[in-house]
Amino acid sequence: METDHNLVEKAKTGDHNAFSELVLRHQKSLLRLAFRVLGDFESAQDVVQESLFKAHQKLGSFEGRSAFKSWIFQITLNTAKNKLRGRRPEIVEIDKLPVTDGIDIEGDLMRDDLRMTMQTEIAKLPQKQRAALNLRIFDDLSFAEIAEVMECPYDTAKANYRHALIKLRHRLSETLQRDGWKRKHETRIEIDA
Amino acid sequence: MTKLEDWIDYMEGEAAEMTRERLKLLLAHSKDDRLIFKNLRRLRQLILHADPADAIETILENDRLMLDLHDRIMMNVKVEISRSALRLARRSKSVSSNPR
Repeated sequence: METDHNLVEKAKTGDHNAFSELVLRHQKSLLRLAFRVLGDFESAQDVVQESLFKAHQKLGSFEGRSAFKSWIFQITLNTAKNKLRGRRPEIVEIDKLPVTDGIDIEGDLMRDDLRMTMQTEIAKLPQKQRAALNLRIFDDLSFAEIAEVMECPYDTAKANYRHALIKLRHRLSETLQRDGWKRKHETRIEIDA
Repeated sequence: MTKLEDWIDYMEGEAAEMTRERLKLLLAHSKDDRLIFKNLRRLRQLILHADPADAIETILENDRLMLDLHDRIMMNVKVEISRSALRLARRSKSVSSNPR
């Protein structure tokens, strides 16, 4: 398989197929990335289209100091954040949090509740912390790549990730104790406070 | 740096060698530290399974939809290339028809 670097070099000379291959290779990851920021697929598609179009326009100025993947992630993340700025702020409704008291929860349902709780808590994180967490855990990027995508120093990328994880640990522990999950499912879920 | 931050670095393979050795010793000898580390890894797993993008995995597996998106992107690119070529042609035409 040809490397991204080779495809970029070919695309710079006007090779349409090379850019087409780069689009095919990265569009799914970019859709996931945009969806995590925006929360709806239509907008995520728009952002990915716009980002890859921008990437093609700027290809001549891409010097290859970072990986193409980091560069295109950076463009997509910024485009998604700009789109988000244009929206009204979303209010997280407290009653969307799962209610578990008095219900005999089956394993799957409990896991769904926990997933929802986790998603709610991730959504509440400050934007930079959330971005670092998403890029590390969901996109499996190294901290060097995260720093490139977020346009920040390496140590800042790491610090944002650490803060996000510590905050989630604290909040999840509180939620589990409040909802009684820790007592009910002690053998399966333990997050020490 | 707090011990928890050290554990996070260790989990991510980012801890410096001295810290790594110190934490390995703690894992071998301290039940409390083993629990902290175990729960940190469990937290990471829980986050991994809470990816909001899981909701669109079925859509992403639809090859036709993905090809449609790809084609739309490439169409935009082609249109832009044609426009640029046209602009360039007009500019050079105007330069050649208005020589100084």
